[in-house]
Amino acid sequence: MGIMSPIEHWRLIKNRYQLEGTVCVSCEKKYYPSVYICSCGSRAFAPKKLRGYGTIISFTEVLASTELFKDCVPYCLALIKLNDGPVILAQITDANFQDLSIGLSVRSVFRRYFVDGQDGLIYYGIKFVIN
Amino acid sequence: MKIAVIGTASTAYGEWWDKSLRQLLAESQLTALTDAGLAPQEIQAIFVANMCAGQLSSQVNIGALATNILGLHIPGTRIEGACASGGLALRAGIAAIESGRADVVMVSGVEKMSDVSHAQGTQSLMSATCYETEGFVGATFPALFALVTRAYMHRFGITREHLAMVSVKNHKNGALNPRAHFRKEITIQDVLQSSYVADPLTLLDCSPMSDGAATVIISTPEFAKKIGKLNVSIIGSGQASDTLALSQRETFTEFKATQHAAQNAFMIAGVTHKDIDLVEVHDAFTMAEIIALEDLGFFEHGQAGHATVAGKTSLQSNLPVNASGGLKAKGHPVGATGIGQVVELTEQLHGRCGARQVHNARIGLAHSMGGLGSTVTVHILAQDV
Amino acid sequence: MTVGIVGYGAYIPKYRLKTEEIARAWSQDYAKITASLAVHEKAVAGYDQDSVTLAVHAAEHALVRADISPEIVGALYVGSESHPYAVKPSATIIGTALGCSRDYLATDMAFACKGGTAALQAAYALVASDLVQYALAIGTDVAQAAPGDILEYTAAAGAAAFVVNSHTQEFLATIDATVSVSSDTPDFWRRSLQQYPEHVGRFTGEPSYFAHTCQAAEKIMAKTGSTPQDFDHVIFHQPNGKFPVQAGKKLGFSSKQLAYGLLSPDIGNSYSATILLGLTNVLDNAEPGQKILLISYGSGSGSDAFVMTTTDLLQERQKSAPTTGEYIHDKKYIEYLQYRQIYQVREGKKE
Repeated sequence: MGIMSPIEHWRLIKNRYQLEGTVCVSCEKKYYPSVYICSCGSRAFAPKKLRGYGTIISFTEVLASTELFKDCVPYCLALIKLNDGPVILAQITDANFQDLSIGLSVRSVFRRYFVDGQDGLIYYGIKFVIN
Repeated sequence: MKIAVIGTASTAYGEWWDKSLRQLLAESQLTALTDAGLAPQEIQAIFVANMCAGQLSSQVNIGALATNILGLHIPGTRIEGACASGGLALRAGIAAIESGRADVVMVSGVEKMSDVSHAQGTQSLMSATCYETEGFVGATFPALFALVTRAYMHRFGITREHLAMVSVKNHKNGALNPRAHFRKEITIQDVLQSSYVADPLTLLDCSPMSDGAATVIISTPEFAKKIGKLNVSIIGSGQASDTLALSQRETFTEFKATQHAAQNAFMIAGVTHKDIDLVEVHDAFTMAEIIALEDLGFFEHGQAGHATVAGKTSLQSNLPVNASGGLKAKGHPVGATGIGQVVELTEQLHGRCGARQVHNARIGLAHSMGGLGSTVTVHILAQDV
Repeated sequence: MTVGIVGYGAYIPKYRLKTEEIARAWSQDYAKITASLAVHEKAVAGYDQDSVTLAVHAAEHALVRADISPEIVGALYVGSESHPYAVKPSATIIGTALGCSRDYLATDMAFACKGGTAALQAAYALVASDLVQYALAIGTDVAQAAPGDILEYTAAAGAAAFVVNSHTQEFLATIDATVSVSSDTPDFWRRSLQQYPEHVGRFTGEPSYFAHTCQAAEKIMAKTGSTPQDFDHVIFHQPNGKFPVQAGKKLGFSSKQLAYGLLSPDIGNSYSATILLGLTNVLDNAEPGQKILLISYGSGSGSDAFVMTTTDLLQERQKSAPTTGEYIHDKKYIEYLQYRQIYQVREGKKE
């Protein structure tokens, strides 16, 4: 339960590996990962690789988790406002919970999120480290 | 709007090792029939609220399960909106009656959480969020609420003690409720010292996973009058939605869907906040109760925590919140929760709540929330005069 | 045509396990171990890191120093002995993470500790033959050793990446010559379904490491008409802190020539990355017009040797990305039990 199909992961690979979001062709508002209708009303979008720099809006340390992540606790999770605009939810890695604060500068790194046991796929994604 | 509530029933909430999903559902359905004094054949449609049975019990198509229990071939429909499934099922039942499709409708909710591990339950509840972005990165429901909590505390300056007071109050009320999952009073220190689930939320800031079922039978006022059961009616109902993903919100310290749903319900009911005598809110977490009271319009943003500490939402106050013990102490069998709130309000308006009876309870409000306020319903019930 | 390095990058994970801590865990004599290995701590990857993620870090830095977009990378070769999959190439995962287009040649390579130089040689050849313009060569490892085995003291993690092409004006260092020697030598191996490698004690020295290293060194010096004194920097493979020093002495190099290229005492042996991290550290600190001799060694066995010359442009790009030294000094010590736990969590094992 909870393990994504490798095919679903493959569809989302550019979002998950390259921090690719979308940009509205009309008003240039950026989204991560995407929407169907822009707040300006336009339905025309182009892919846009977002730069992985941002600041923490809120954060927490997870101590009890789901099936997929229960062996990884404790780990830090944060809402991060990217300098490019969109807000993303991601783990903060290589840091102590005590070092985190609202407003802290962070930057993106490519890491493993979880593995499907010993036989299944390895699911990589974007985490953040203190900048 | 005037939808009569003519029968109610709820199982106790807790860990029911010896009762399955269908046994819990059956118990609440049959007890509600008895409460209403009706034969099964008089029910014309059933709506059943449930979130996790597909994942945890490998059972969907629960609408049919519910009609099977009564031995009927009437329409049976499962309704899902995560933890707001109960509120949504009630709205479906109301719509069936208002449209003239049915005169007498049974609305049930049921959930069976204890057959799987806590980690598996947590995994299943994550399907209420934007799973492919939030589940993928290791979010849990408590973690998402912890992010909201920290943002709220940063903005309004309240402390963990304010949050803890919600839990203390609800446990105190739950101790008076024979159906509650937890019937033990706790202290602020107990909350502060319990282990962290997702900082700053501790175990005692979080509602439990529970098994349970609840049922209400609703009808047209004419039918209720005919059987001498026109005592309590639903007079207002509202529903709204918001983004699945927390990261897509415009604000992290309010839930707009609650605000919109409440506005709709009040408008339909034709009452104001001052008319409300008691409130059952969806306190999945202590923070959720505080934000809900503000979004429902009972307190200004940033004030509900102070109001709780000042005792303004206690059983003895002018606005008792979660007299039942709330999700925190009464328990949270997901699909049943929203229906259970209506059972509680109905019993309060009947004056049948014993030690936890709210005095002069004439109009009550129930708030049911799915995800992080991505699906919200608000219902207002009143005594018939 | 001349082929050169136009970008380079290093990555060393921040966790460190001290020799002293491993010795404590196994009740072994720390002083004796340090005396024999000359390695006092090693770099350890976190549970969310593996050879692929380390490689991405290093390759990103290489692309920044090369000042090119990932979309024009024409070939991506990655050498490791800890590829996360036995079947499913690391190269395409790395390429996708970097933002490469679909229009490139990708291959995984392996040759014990010289998988990285094998990748560099292949990249050199692809560019020299004009099959591709820009080739990215990476050496990366998150090395494992059996608990309690002597190799546990040195098996470490790291990655280094190089962008190679033939545009003279972009060179940070030219690759002037490369040679290899190979033989079937059973000094160190791991059967395909086993977790940890086997090794045969002192046989890993003379007939293995030293024989191939010295033969490759002599071969390349003959080919380029050089003597030991011609080189400003010499980099050997460094499975411990002693072998490279001994190799240097055997071949007539001074400790000054080895200085920048010898890192294993501080970060351990990151297998396919070890020698290439020695190269990135040399590049971080070299001056224009300096000659570099690099001789790798991979068990099983073989050695790849390279002669390189630095350019004026190198100094402009040294600080464009984090340096090897910055990574060496950005560290956090962990305990032995955490080290074992990291491995379990990374692999999804239950112990």
